[in-house]
Amino acid sequence: MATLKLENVTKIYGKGHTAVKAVEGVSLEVAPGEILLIMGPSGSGKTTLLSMAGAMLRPSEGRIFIHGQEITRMRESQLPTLRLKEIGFVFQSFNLLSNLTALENVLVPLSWNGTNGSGAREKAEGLLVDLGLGDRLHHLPADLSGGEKQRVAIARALANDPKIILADEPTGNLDSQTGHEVTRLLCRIACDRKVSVVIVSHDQRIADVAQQVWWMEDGRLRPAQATGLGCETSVPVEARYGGKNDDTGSRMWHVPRLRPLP
Amino acid sequence: MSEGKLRTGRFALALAGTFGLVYGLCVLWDYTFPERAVRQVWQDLFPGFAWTLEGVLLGLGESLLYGLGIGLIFGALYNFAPSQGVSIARKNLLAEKTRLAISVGGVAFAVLLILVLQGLYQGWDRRMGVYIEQTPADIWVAQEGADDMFHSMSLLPANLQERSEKIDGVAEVHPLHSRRYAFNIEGEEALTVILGYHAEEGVGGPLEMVEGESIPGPGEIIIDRAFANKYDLHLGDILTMEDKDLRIVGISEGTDFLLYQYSFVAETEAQALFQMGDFVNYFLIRLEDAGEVDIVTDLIEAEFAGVQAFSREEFADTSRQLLEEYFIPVLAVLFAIGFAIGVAVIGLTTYTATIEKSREYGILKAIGAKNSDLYRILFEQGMIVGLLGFGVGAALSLVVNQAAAKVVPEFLTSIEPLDMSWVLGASLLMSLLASYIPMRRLAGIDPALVFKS
Ligand SMILES: Nc1ncnc2c1ncn2[C@@H]1O[C@H](COP(=O)(O)OP(=O)(O)O)[C@@H](O)[C@H]1O
Ligand SMILES: [Mg+2]
Repeated sequence: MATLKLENVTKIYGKGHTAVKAVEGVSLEVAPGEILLIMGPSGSGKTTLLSMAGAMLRPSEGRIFIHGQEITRMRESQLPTLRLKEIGFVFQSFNLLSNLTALENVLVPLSWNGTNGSGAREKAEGLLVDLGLGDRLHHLPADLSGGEKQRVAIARALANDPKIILADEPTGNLDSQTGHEVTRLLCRIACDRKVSVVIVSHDQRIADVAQQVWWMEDGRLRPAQATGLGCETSVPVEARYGGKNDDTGSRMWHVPRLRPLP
Repeated sequence: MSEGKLRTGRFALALAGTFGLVYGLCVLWDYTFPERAVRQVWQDLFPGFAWTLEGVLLGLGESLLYGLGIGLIFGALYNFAPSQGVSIARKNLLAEKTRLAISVGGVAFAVLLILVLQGLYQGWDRRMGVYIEQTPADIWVAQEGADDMFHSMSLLPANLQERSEKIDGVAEVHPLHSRRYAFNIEGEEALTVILGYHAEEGVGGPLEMVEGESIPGPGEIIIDRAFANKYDLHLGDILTMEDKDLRIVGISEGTDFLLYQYSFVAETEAQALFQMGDFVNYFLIRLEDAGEVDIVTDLIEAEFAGVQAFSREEFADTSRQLLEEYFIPVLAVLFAIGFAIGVAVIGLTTYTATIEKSREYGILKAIGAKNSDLYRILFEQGMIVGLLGFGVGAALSLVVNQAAAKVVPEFLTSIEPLDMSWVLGASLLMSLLASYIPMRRLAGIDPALVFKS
């Protein structure tokens, strides 16, 4: 069953002559462990689409399912718990809590989900160590680099073992090298944890590992060519993505494939 | 969520049981060792407690209710506050130390104001009755309508003395002369109430001497320290009353009643000065058996028309009521002001803090916080500020009271543990009220905004 499914989703902001059709008739399906990339110019409706998929914004039309459950029919009061348990968010601007250390930022969603005490601590530390932040546990966000902040945010997103990760331009505030590492992490997560990852990005290199690549313009989605390698292939992610000597490395620069298909 | 949760019901019952048991032990102790009774210490906690079966049972009921109430409140607070997780409230408060200091200062100021006023009021309230309570008389007889020593002047025919002595159960009767008088001190009116002192019976005299003689002779007067301070009077100074000079031979304390103070002259002097003729202001009666107060007061009122008889406690109470009538409304207003200032200061600091942090609250919502999770943060913030503010304010009020008592002895205060507990409640309530407006603000934050950078 698809982890995330959108059926003919439309979002219109405002009313009357000021109305803006941000998303129009979008349908999507993401399977467990699959990486879906959405590209497109600014203002094309990508963030709006992600907000709806993340149960933060109700579509004007259409239906959205998470694990077969229609979230567009759920009551407002049920949505926070859905976001807490099923969805992990990664934002362009990191969005960590400034007064909390890296570890505490990860503990917060755990504690709301009822995981407290030493169990929560072990889990949070494990995630951070896994993401290479073992020596940054007690640092405040202000004392972390951009890449470190984004990795803390990814650890926070993973805290409650969500089925979906929604990442809105996660590398937008990072330099190319750091952005590269962060995307690699997200890919590894999709593979290792069988989590569906939806990434909005301008980073064309992601297309090499994404099973689905879509182009968004004026609120409409059009398929773009994807390699379809994903993590089902026997080639390890590290080799497929960012490896220096294999041929996939050069494919990253094969830009024309990423133009929308006619 | 069961980990670390308190089972409130059971906890409250257990606490009630413990309180009941301790209460029972205290009662048993006092019953077994009446000469070492300790109930002075605790009986004030149980309104209506008396050393009778009903009174003791009432006390038991109250102790159980205390346990139940404290248990339920504590349990609810304990479970509602995030027990083991990260305390965002605490982190946010500590990250803004200036703001924290201002909010805590606001509560502390309100607590200080309320406790000092309350202490002052209680100190005065106690004093208003203390003179009557310390006078060795079981019954005070006054003219009908003269319910206390302050409001109204009581005049009784002098021959009532002999007639009351004949009433069953009466051991002794002493007349008491008092007169409200304004001395002219360098053009200023100095209001005092002069009492005639029977030194042998100890009726109508000063309570506690500060300096000088304790018994005024002819042409002599003892004044209260507050009166002496107010008009800069010293031992040896002369006060003039209708051409008659009175030399100050003693200064006493404990008879300062805010608007005026008591002064004392010899009983014989009082009769002459006041030109009372065949009239007396009060009769003070001592009984053969102090337990017969009610019977004898009834007898006196039945026997003499236009006369009221009070037990010592009743008369002290009616005297205290004067203060209550005048000051409770003023106190209530001042309390309300203190409370409002507290709420306003915390409200403002919490509100600005919430607005500044509204993006972070949005992040929390986006990653799955329910509105109630965010309210909990505000609630915890309020509780911390309320508790800290109370602690600081209560400590300050004790210091202020101590210092004031040293510097200005007339500044009479008394702070009771029970006041502390209701003021604690008030400061927590202040904090909760102050978190109400930001709460509504939190509810309106749109989580989707966090996608915008
Ligand atoms: N809250 C909103 N109210 C009104 N219009 C909005 C709102 N959010 C986005 N829009 C509009 O919807 C369109 C799509 O925006 P967005 O989803 O942010 O695009 P993208 O993420 O691709 O840059 C834009 O025209 C934008 O101005
Ligand atoms: Mg966007």
